[in-house]
Amino acid sequence: MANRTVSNVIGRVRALLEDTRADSYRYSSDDLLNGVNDAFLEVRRIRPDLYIHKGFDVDDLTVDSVFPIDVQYFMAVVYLTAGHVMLRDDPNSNDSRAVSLLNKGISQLQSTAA
Amino acid sequence: MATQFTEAQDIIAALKARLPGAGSDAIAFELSLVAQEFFRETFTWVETSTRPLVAGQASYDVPDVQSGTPCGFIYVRAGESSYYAPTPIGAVTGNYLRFEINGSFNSITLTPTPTASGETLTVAAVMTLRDVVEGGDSPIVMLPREQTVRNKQAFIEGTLATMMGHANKPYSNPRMAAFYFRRFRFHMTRAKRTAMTGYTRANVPFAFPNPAGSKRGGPWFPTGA
Repeated sequence: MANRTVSNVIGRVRALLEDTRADSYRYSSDDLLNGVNDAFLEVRRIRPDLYIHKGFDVDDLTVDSVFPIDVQYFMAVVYLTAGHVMLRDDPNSNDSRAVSLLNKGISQLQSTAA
Repeated sequence: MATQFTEAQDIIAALKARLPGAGSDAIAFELSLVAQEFFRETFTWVETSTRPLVAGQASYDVPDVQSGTPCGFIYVRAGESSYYAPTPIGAVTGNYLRFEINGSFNSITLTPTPTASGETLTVAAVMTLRDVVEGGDSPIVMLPREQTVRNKQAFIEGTLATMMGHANKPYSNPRMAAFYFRRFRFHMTRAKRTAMTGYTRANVPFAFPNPAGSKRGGPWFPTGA
């Protein structure tokens, strides 16, 4: 997978959320895209060095956008996005799992072994 | 001889292996800052240019090369004469030859203005690295090849020092940062000494001041003991 895109992130998030049936998505693609954009804001806050070549600007991404930071943080963004959308007040969501995912995403941004 | 430049890809690769979690752009940016400090402090990168003096022309360009920019002067000469930068003590008066630096070292103005053409003006400028981050592009660090081969370890360890000194990153390591910073200072001292001695083994009594002293060397100022 040479050039990962935002749609790859959304696909991985759907797999984590067990939300892969296209005819009955629990989380709409727009919700997940918003989650990805919010996750990148968090990345920008915690790791500004990853945005050094962009003048520290965070662009609004679409599903076709290329993954905008170093690809080694792909899974961190997946965890942050999944955790973020799971915080929604929803009978299917699991708050403790959401917090675990958020913490895992943040830990991956800040430490080597996470 | 014109300076040959090389992209710092192998240095960045060595740094990526030692800095898990660091992005290439951040490494390149820090490497450029370290290289700037190294060249500015050590005077190891000198560009010499010559041009004919022109009667009535006081200002002359300073050599400006790819990815390098002047930050000081070793000497400015014309024929048998030397020009000196103005000194604040006011000791230099009369017809003494002087030069003033214009703007960001992009040209110099000679005083008095040359009245005859024909002599060759020679400018030896200390160079340092230009800023590498401009909007929208990933930084590309182009280093002078000769100095890079000679001082590669200095760039690697200097960048490790600054990167490991970052807070809350996977590669944060303040103790190793201090270790690599000492190594970087050592490399700078050695590079400056060898440059001052024309890359021979001659001894020059130069060292960066070390106010805190060390257990071995004691304080750097005389104690009277």
